[in-house]
Amino acid sequence: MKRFPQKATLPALAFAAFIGLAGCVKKTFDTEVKRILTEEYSMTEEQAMVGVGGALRYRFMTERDGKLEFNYHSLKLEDVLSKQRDMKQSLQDILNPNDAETRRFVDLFNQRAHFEREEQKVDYRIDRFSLVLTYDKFVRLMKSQRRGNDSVGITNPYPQGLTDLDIMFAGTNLARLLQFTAKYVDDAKAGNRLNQIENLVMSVQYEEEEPNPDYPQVDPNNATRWVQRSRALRIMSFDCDTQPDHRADYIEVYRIGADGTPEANPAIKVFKSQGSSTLDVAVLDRNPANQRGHGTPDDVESLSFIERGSELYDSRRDLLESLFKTPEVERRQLPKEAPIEAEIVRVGELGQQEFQISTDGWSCPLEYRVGNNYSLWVKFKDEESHDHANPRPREIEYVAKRYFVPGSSSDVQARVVEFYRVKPEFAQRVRLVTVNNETKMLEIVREGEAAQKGMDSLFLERDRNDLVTPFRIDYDSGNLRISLLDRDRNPEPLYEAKAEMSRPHTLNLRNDARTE
Amino acid sequence: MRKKLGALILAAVPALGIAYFPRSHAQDGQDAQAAAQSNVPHYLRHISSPSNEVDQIIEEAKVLDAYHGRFGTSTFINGNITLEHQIHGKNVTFVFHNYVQQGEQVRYGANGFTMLSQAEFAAVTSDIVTTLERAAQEAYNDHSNVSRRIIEIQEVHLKRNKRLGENEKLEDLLDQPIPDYPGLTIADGLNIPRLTVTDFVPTQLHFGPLPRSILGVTYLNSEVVGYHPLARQIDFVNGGPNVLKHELVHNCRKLQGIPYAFEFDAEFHASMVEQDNGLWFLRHPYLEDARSLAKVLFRFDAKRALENAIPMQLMLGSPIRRDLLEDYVVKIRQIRTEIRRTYLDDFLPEFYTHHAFWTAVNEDLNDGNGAFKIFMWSKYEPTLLQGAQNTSRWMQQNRQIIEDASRQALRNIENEQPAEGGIVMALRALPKEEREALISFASTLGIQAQDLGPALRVLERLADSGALNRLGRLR
Ligand SMILES: [Zn+2]
Repeated sequence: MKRFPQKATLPALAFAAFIGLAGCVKKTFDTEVKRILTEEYSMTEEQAMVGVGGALRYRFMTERDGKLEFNYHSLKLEDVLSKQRDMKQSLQDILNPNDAETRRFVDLFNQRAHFEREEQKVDYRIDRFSLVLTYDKFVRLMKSQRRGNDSVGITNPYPQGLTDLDIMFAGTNLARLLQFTAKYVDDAKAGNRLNQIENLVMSVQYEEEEPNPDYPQVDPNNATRWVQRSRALRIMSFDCDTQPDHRADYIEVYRIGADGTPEANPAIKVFKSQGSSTLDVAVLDRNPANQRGHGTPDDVESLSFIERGSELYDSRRDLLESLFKTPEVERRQLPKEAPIEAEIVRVGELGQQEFQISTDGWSCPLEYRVGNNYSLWVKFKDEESHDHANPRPREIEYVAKRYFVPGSSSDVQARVVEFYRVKPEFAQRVRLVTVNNETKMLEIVREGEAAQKGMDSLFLERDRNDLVTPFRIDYDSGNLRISLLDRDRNPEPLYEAKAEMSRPHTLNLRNDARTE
Repeated sequence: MRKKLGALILAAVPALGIAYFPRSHAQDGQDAQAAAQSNVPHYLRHISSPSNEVDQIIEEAKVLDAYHGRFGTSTFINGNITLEHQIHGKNVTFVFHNYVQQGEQVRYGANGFTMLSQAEFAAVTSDIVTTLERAAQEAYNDHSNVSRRIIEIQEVHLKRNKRLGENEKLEDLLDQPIPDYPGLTIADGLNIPRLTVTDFVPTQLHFGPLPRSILGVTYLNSEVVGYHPLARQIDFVNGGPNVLKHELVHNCRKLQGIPYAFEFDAEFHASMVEQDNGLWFLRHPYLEDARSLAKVLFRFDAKRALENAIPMQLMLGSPIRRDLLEDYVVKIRQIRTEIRRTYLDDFLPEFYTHHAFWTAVNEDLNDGNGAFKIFMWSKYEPTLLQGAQNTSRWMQQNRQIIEDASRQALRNIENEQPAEGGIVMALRALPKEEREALISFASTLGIQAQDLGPALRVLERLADSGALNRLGRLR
């Protein structure tokens, strides 16, 4: 008789049941051994059943003094760890904040805290097993050993004779048992021969997109949000030889905190394996100082062609950048629930709502000015009717400064544009404006008057502190384009209004001036 | 988790059941009053609880016959009479589905409406409360040695491996915190289920109908259990709350919480506490592995026994060879006791002692009961090939072949699993974009050939959840 749906009616658990119904009979070790013995070795059904038992005994037990004992090294450590990861995955599935159905199940019976605790337990075991496995890999790489492929029926002793139980037992001091180090480095340290031959700092600043915790209940418009980040690393290379040859034998890489101090433990250590001429074994610690697991390696990688620390920066940037990836668990955030409402608005009842108003004022968080890295764009006020044959004098609506990356023609990253008003005495009845983007000079020719020429600041409106300030600043932020607006210019130069629109692919900025 | 009737019962012709079904509630008056006076709940009136096991089998079938077509479900939990009651010191909310207070009386609405007096309803509540009390106590008793045994075995192992000093006692360390893991103790790290009777007690017990052929249901981790009135009747016939005990094992989240329940055959485990009549052993799907083990180790052929005892399925009802069945049920009782004692007293402590190892073994064998099968083979000599001596000799003679087949089988389940229903098919079933996204995701993780095992499992899970959503909608 085939197996019937077994697991649960809770949808999250019902899947196994469906597989059982819909699919063919599951192929297990049991059924497969039986099939092979009957089909390929012509055994009877009864013999094959006994054969299955024999197969189980030979694989998982050893005989000692006529008694059968379980062999806890009959499975690879990788497989034991991978099972723990499966359990973690089950918990992540059920705690997945974006799966509305499991979220309702978990919350209906108020189980979130319980599952989170279960996840912690599994995390603990994953950490422990990973560490042992990482160490196993480290030892092999340091001896330049590869693991054979055929592991069937072979025991796979774990480092230091550990079994799963020893590893799960918190009383077993794994950090002491498993030392990720090399004798030549220890000796050099002990003999005060760790000579620093290179020491450099790399730093990066970037915007990173991350899931928006308000999406979709509170803010259905933005599934992600942009966050500013800035990171730095110190890379040090050491010569460990008794006769210093100024060649690196050992590298340490440290994360540098926001306050400029490096962490206590290296994030990467790079060793030379037995007989290797290059630095070929890297030990990585992905957890930053404020996180659990800092000081315990997470990964071992083999490197090629690395002879000093700076070469990591040149050829293994990926490895260095991987040190900044926050482990995923830390980022689980429950969507905020908005109350269910009913909002009915008839057409015509909607007022003007372009701006978000802040009495404290909005400010632009960007640094984009490097000297005079802008070009000038002048716009006349639009007119109802414009006679091309007989143009009338015009009024200047604004002068814009569009910022570019110094030494190039491309916009600064956030494509910042500042808009300035022109002093009233220069703004009216204008016939011609000429700009010079090299000198930042403006020339304004007004109806019936001599041309006036000077630095742009001469013509631009000043605030009450007598400073030339824009009345509007536009810039990109994530997938938005922001406009900050000072609409009254009085009493303070304060951007009280903010408008947001979707980030356009190209900036459309008009220029009514002639360019020299 | 739910417990199902065997397929035989579902396949029987429903028209017959309907033909004599209405009788049970049509009787009222003196009968009901007499019953109420003797404190028998209305659903147990007219049902007997025979001591002879074959009589149990026959009476159980009569009860089922009387119930054909009556699997349904309550529309809403709200509106039923509920009762708070302490069971073994734990507050339990009892929900009596389709029982509604109406003035001085209680209206029962399972199939049309019946009016019950307060005394009659009191018989109902008292029956369900005491049944839960007893079921929880018995389910716990079956597991009462597990925690102690685990700690003993672990201590011996840790001392032998010098992880624990000769004079240290593991028991004393269990509540110590694990540094860096706030809130976790050494016992948590070892995953020791430290059981009490209250772990088996649900927080909500729903006494009411369930859909299809489900007799009981437990929502994992939620401590919410459903118990069908028909299951109560069957339990009554068989002399113990087997169905409810089964559910209470599912209810125990230290043993069968998420994610642990997915890592072994939770139904087999829950079935170990049952002590129902022999027919369940002969044909219930959850006990298939028990039948296999009984055949190869104890030489009891359940398939043939069933065919002999009930030689034909006739539309007008099947004849039982009573003389044979009387003999079989005695043997079955012996076998079930052997298997259940081994499972509960010896296997579970071993399983939890090396939990990480054994759950990985189940995965490796692609068999939720793999660890238990290994355990049985470590405790019993096979007898199937004309006795233990002959079987043992045969095994030795064929060792080489068996090991070859074992290697080949392992390769097959490793290699073919993906092709047949696992990752490859799951990937293929995904929409193109999702599939490509998954593959490129894997490559950005730098997954190499030797690491593909875990990666495939992750992908499988992802694929599973997609398939789940699709299937979920069909229901
Ligand atoms: Zn069940």
